Formats: sequence, C-alpha cells, structure tokens
Amino acid sequence: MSDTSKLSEVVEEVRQRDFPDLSAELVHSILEVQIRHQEDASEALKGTHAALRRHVESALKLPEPGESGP
Amino acid sequence: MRYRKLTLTNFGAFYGRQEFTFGRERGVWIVYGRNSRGKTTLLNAFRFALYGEYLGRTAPRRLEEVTNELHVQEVGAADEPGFQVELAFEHKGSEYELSRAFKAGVSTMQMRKDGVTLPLDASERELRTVAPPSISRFYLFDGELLRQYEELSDEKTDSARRLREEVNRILGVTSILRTAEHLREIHAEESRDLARSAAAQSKSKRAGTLLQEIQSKRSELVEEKRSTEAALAQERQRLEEVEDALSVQAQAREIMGQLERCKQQKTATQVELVRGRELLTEVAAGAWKAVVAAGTADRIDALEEEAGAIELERIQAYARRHAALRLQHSEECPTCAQTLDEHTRAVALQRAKEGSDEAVVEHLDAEAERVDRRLRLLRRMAQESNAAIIADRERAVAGLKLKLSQLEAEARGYEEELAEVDQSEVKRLQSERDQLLQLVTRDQEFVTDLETQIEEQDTQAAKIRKEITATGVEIEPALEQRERIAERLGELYSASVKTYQEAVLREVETSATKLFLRMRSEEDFAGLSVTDGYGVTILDRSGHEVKGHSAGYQHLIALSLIGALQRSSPVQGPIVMDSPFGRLDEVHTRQVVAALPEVADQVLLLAFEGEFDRGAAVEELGTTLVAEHRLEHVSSKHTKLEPREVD
Repeated sequence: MSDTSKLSEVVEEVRQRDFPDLSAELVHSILEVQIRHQEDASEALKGTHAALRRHVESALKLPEPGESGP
Repeated sequence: MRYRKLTLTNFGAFYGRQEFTFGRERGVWIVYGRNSRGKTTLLNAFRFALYGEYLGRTAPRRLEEVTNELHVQEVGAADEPGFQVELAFEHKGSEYELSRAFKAGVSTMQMRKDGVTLPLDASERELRTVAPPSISRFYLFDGELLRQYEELSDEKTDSARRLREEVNRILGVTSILRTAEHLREIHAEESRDLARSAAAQSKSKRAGTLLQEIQSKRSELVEEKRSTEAALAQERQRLEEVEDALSVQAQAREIMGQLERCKQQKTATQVELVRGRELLTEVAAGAWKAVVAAGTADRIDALEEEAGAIELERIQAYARRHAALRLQHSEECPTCAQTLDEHTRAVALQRAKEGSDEAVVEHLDAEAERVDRRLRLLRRMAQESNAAIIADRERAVAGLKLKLSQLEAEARGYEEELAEVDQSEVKRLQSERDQLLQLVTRDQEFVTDLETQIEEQDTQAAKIRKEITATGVEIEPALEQRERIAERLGELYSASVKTYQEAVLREVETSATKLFLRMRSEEDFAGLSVTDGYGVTILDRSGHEVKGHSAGYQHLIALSLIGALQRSSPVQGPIVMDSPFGRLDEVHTRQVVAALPEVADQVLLLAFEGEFDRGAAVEELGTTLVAEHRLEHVSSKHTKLEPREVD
C-alpha cells in the first residue's frame, strides 16, 4: 500500500528551495528507509544513520564534479 | 494493494473451507447478512490474516474461541481443532499469498511473494510495510470508528488525541516528524564523537570538553524522554483498554435495544404464525374438494345438457300458453295468422292448453331452478379446487417458521454478547480511568518540558560547535561531514513537516468536500473545512460555518473524512466496512452507497438485508458493483458465504 511520492515531492521542494547543498539522492534514500521501517523506530534510526555514513564515505572517495553534496 | 482472494477454513461460523474472490477487479462488493451471521467475523478474517488478531464487538476475542464449533465437535478428542485464513493480494506488481493458522494454542504465519516463501522475519517486515498495523482501523472499520471521528471535535479527550495521532500516521506526517527527530539524534551522536575529538586536541580542549558535557546532558534528557514516553505509551495503552471496557456498557445498552427489537419481532411473528396455521387448518378442512374436483367437470357437462333440455321445454310451454290465450280471444291462428273455423280452433286450443297448464309450467320452473342450483355448486367446487391455496398457505407458514428461527438465533447472539458484560467492574474502571488520565497528563507535560530542555542544549551545542570551528582544529573529514550533514538534514526535515502537513490538509479538505457533496442532500451545505487537529466543519454557500447540524450529518462528515484520508494517504489499500450507515436516513444511506467507489479502489461492504434499498444501490453503483454475496444461515454453528441470487 505504501507510496512515498507525495512525501518525497514536498521534501524535494523544500530541499531545492532552502537546502540545495544537500544531496537529493541522500534525502530521498533516508525517506525511503524511514517509510520501509515505519513500524520499527529502532530499525529506521539505524538505517538512516547507515545511509548517511554510506553517503559520506562514497562522497569522500569519489567526489563527483558539480555535485552539491558534502 | 489489492485483494485477490480470501479463503477461510473453520473460522468462526464459517465451517469448512470457504472462499471469497476479488479477482483482478476494482469496485464494490457487498455481503448481506443478518445479525449474528458472521459479518464481523468476516471483517476479522482480514484482521487475523494481516495482524493475527480478532476483535469482538465488546472486547478482543481469545483465538481459542474462534475455531468453528462444528469442526471442534467433528475432531473430538482425535486431533487438535484449529482454523486458517489465507489472503492473496497484489502489491506494487508482486503477488502475495499470506496464510495464518491457529492450532493447539499456537498461531503460525507463512507468506509467499511471487511464488517464493519468505522467511518469517522478512514476511513480518514486508507485511508491516504493505499494511501497517498502526493504521489498520482505517481499512478494517466498523461503526465505532465513525463515532470516534465525531469525538475529534472534542480536542481534550484522549481518544481524540489517539485518533489524531493515527490520522497523522495514515497521512505520513508521523514518518516525516520521526525522520526529523532521528536526524537530530544522529546529529547529536556525531556531535559527541566530534566533541571527543576536539577535546583531545589542545587548541579546542575547552570547547570540546564543554560540548561533551552539553551532549552528555542532552543524552540524559533524551534517555529520560524515551523512558517517559515508554511509560506514557503503557499508560495510554491501559487507558485505551479501560475506555474500551467502559464503552462496553454503552454498547451493552445498544445490544439490549437490539435484543428488545428482536423479541418484539419474535412475538409478532409468533402471532402471525398462529394465524397462518389457523388459515392452513381452515383451508385444509376442504381438502376433499380437491379429491372430488376431478369428476366434477363431467357432472357439470351432463347437468348443462339437462338444463338446456328443460329450458327448451319451458320455452315451448310458455309458447303454448301464449297461443292458448290468443286462441281464446281470436279466430286467427297464432302461428300462421289464417282465419280458423270453429272446429279447428277448438282442437288447437285443446292442444295448446294440454302442454301449458299451470302444473306443467311450475314443474319445469322448479326443475330449471334445481339444475341451476346444482350447476352453481359444482362450478364453485371446481373453482375452489384448493390445492393451490393449501400450497400457498403452507409456504407462508414455512416462511414464518424460518423467520422465527432466525430471530431466535439473532436473540441468542445478543444474549451471548450481553453475557460478556460485567456490570460490577464499571466503578473500578471509572476510578482507574481518572487516575490514568492524571498520569497521562502529567507525563505528557513532562515530555514537552524535556523537549524544550533538549532544544536548549542543541542551541548551546551549536554555539560551542562554532567555537570549535573557529579554533581551526582538525577534525576527521568523514566525522566532520557526517555531523554537518546530519544537522542540515534535521533542519530540512523539520522545515518539511509544516509544508507537508499544510499540503496534505488542503488535499484532505478538497477530497472530503468532494465526497461530502456527493452524499449530502442539503443544497446549502457547500463544503467542508478541515482544521489542523483534523476537526471538520460544514461550510455554507457564503463560506460560513454551519452550526448545529444533525447527528446524521456528523456521520456523513466522518465518512467523508475517512474516504479523504484514504485518498490522501501514502499508504493505500482496500477498505472493509461493517455496517457503516448508523444514523443515516434512507436518502443519505443511498447516497453513501453510491459514493463508495470513490472511497477506495476496492470496497467490501458488510450490511444486513434491508439496511439500504438494494435496487437503488444496484442502479447507483452500476458497473462498479462487482458482486453481491450473502451469509446463508445453515445453523447457529455454520454460515455459508454464497453469491446472492438475482431477484
């Protein structure tokens, strides 16, 4: 039954307007983790932290030209 | 998500294996059933399949009591009785087969996705995502949910608060709020690591140590908040149980009303049955007529022939009498009008008098009357061949007997439900509820206070963090970035909450208004307005709030809101509704039925026969009415789910 499109849409709108320095991919993946584990807060927290770590590691290893991320 | 098929095996009143197929259709399915036939059991079959539980009308039911009683008798001591529910459904292009069973006190679950059996933990995880239990009552609901919606306007009650939380959950607001909170926690954790790193370097030792202290204090506050929230959740859980138990009293009154109505109908049916039997006895007393009816036709033919002959003789006699009278006063022949001589005239007069004297005419009149009387009697007997009348009256008596047995079963059902009510508990429950309300209020205030303190720590931490940056100390790049990004992400999600909530509220309002306009009959009611707390008011044509509308309209508002929440929710799926018409009159009930296809892609409506005008519903729903079923009463322990016959 789940569909995160509306949530994603609003969060992306706010990101573009006020937080353009943050990676769209990271923001979206965090929302997905949260929805996936909406019935298990502990898993949602762990998954969110893991997504952040992965993103930073990946960004430090392979900085993409023009990316507005970290 | 869309349902494909529900299969019940020895579940409640559903004896043996029975199926309900949705196929690949979307639209409305209706299941008709009298009270105590299994409508709520059918609703619970979905609940058991998805969440492993069964909610009775007055309290959750022990699963041991759900096994079909006929099956229990059949199994006897030879084996452990049990039941099973299988639910096939589609979600995001994958086909799922969910099976849950209960046997020997143990509940087991298995789920296959696209033909592959999933491990138990994966099944549970997947199921929680597809059909989150926290919002289940928006998908599997009865009239009680509508009543709770009406309480939303009373913002102080705990049930209204709970419902608001659930609405936030169904709309996804909770997800985004929790994401923001988790990111603040992650930021605090990264910040602690960063503070440790700063404290280890001389340039930033003081600021680092201070930040560590702030973060340590923050952790303590967060821990305290968590434990208070856990206690609060337990208190609320208990409060919910106590309130449910108290509401049993109100429900008991309703059940008593139903029982009284049932008893009155039973008495009226018994009177009808006595009268029906009398009529049958009366008509049966003339049953011999049917036996002799076969020979009556021949007798009628013979009598008709006899009557014809008598009539001919009577005509001749009257003609002779007329001729005699003419001959007495005239010389002219009454037949050929020639003049007769004296002798011929005397002979003709003699003959005319012989065949028409008074005695002959009287005899012929009496014979004609006798034959006519017998003919009338025989004809009535032929018409009244009462085999058909007897059959009609037998059918009427059988129908009344069936109605009586159904009413007796219904009354038994109500009496069983009433037996579950323990009146003596009420005072103790009320006292416990008052204490729990005090605890809940106190703990909720404490949580709010802790949140303020955490925010203060965060503000201080941000200042110190700037000081650390200003010292030019080197922090591990990954740690520094994680801490910075986590903070920004937390800010992003906090900012998104309000934007999302406003967007979704307007969407709910538009959608609820659309549904409401479909269902209302008062033309001056032009729309709905939804507040931040999900309270709903009716607006008139000039945009002013309509005050003092009827309970029926409160009901319509609640239905409109539920439909709108479905449409606006990030989690969408079929709805199963158990008797949702409550206090609606005939016109509004009809309009609600017509609006059902707009509430969800698949709607299964459980209703009792006569709850709405079926003919009108069939017409209004048109092709969106996929199928109709009925709960056929076989016995008090056996209900069959069957396609409803077309009238």
